[in-house]
Amino acid sequence: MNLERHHRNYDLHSWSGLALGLFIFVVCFTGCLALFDAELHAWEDPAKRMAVPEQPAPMDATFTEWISEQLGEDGKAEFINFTFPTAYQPYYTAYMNFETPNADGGHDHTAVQQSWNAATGAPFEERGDGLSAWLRDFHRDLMWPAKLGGRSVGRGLVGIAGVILLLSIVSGVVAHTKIMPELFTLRFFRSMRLKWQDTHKVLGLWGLPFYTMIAVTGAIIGVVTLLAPVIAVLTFKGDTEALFEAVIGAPLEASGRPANMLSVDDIRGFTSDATNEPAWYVVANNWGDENARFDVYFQSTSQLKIVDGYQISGVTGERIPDSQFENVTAGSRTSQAVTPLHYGTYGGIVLKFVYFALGLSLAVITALGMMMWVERRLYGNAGKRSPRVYKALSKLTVGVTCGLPLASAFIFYADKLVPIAPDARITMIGQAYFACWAVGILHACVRGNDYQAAKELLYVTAAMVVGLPFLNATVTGEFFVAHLTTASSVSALTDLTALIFGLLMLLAVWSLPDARKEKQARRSENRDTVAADDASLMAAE
Amino acid sequence: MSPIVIGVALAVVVAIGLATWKAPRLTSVILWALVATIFLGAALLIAFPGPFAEKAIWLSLLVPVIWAGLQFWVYWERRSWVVASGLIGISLASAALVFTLEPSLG
Repeated sequence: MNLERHHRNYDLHSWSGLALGLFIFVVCFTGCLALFDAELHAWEDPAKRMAVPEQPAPMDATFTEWISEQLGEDGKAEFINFTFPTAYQPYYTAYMNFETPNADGGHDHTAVQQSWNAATGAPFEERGDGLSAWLRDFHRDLMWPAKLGGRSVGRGLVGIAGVILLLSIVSGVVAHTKIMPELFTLRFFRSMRLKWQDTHKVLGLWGLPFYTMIAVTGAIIGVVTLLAPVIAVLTFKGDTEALFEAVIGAPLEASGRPANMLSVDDIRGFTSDATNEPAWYVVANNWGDENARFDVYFQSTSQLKIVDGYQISGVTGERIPDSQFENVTAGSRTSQAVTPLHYGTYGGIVLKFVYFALGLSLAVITALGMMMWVERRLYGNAGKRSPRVYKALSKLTVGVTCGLPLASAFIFYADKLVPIAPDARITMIGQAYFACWAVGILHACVRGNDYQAAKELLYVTAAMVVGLPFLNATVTGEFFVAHLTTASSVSALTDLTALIFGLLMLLAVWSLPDARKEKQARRSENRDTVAADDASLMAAE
Repeated sequence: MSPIVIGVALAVVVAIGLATWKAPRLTSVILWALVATIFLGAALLIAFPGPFAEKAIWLSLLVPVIWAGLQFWVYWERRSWVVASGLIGISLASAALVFTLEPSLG
């Protein structure tokens, strides 16, 4: 590769990492926590910590009555989902979206949710979305507000982070001309900058297949929500109905003749053709009509598929032949693999921890890349701006990257300790999250020593993570040691993981330096020394 | 159309034109690569034979890769004017296909 092209490629790697580096860090870090939303939900809501009963309570009458109550006389169901108890969610849950006519001649749309105890069939008092929903959805769509376009815009923005990450990966790999030696070079006892640079390269190269996969699948999941509608509307010149029909087929029309629905208790007995697993959840179409249909889904935890499923008549339970589910093509199979690949749902909890470690290393690589860029400009020979600009960037990087873990730990405490109405819980969690993150950024800005600021923020985070089992024990009375094999085992294992991870984090933070050890060779003060140092780094690059 | 809307649209067109003239790579990587991806995607969906739903799935899998690929090419190509004109050309050619052909439903 000629030098000019090498420099252009290096520029691309720098700007893509710099312009959106912090955003990519946020997406990577939040993704690590989003992996465990089911486990965190069990930790979050003590009322729902229970084992799946061997003989779950029959639910059909309760579920049917709940639907009738919600719809009233003139409501029309748009979407109905009923989920059976599983190990991670050992209770029944139903979601429904429905429309009701309003005074203006239009329709109001409402979404409702209800959970029931699987052993008794009694309804749970809903606690409202909180900690786990925030951690999951902040990664998926940044909890983007409806006023600014809603969640699909947020999801698209996260997808753009995936595209930029992919671009950074490709340009980063192309920039490295000595990949083999760099795979095995980690000069841990040399200068700070060399240490960061080697770590950035070694982690980046060893984790390359994972990072590429996560960038491509993340970009697909996110960008598709943003671009696919635009492309599709262009293709059909704005005729969205024709578009939907071409992609998902004509919708199933209701006959207008009422009929009794097949009992959801009977559907539990349907099993997957592939795994023999019982039904996980069903989606009802045309509820209460002769043309009703159930889409029956099964967990697909050991295959690269989101779900496994088939369609049955909602009245007779007869299997519908040649449905969309059974018509598997290469495209649909590949598309089904994208989400499990991204979220690591196909290999159990061990795989999730592997994803967690690799995801965290990607966040570290992104942060190191930014820190190296700033360091070379603040103490090296590169860059044209005043040191004040680079110092501000350095503080912002420390504040954002170390403040985010702190905010993530803080909302565990907010969720457990703040008594609040179910509807307001998620808003309170969001406010606590951003307030704590802002405090972290502010601390980094006013501390005066970025190394100390980072250490302090990470120390507090680690201490808070270590404290999670004790917080849980104080609030719920369940100390994890006694519950590792009980119905609260998921929550107890979450406590144990937090304790181990927090202690490891304390150890790691303890080993971080308190200040920059090398001579404070400011650009303006000692350009020659710095130029020599830079030359050796450039040669290494 | 109101004169204000026309004025704003003209101002945007002039601004994009100026930006492309002054900084072709930067404008291309931010804007033209995205525009080319959208139109190229729509053109591929129309022009390729086969069942529409299947094409739509493959396209949704390919769109981010096409976008990142075009962005990478912006900095790989030696001549900056080739980058901008290439992406604008792809967009125009694809747009011509999109607005003249009907989608093949397969």
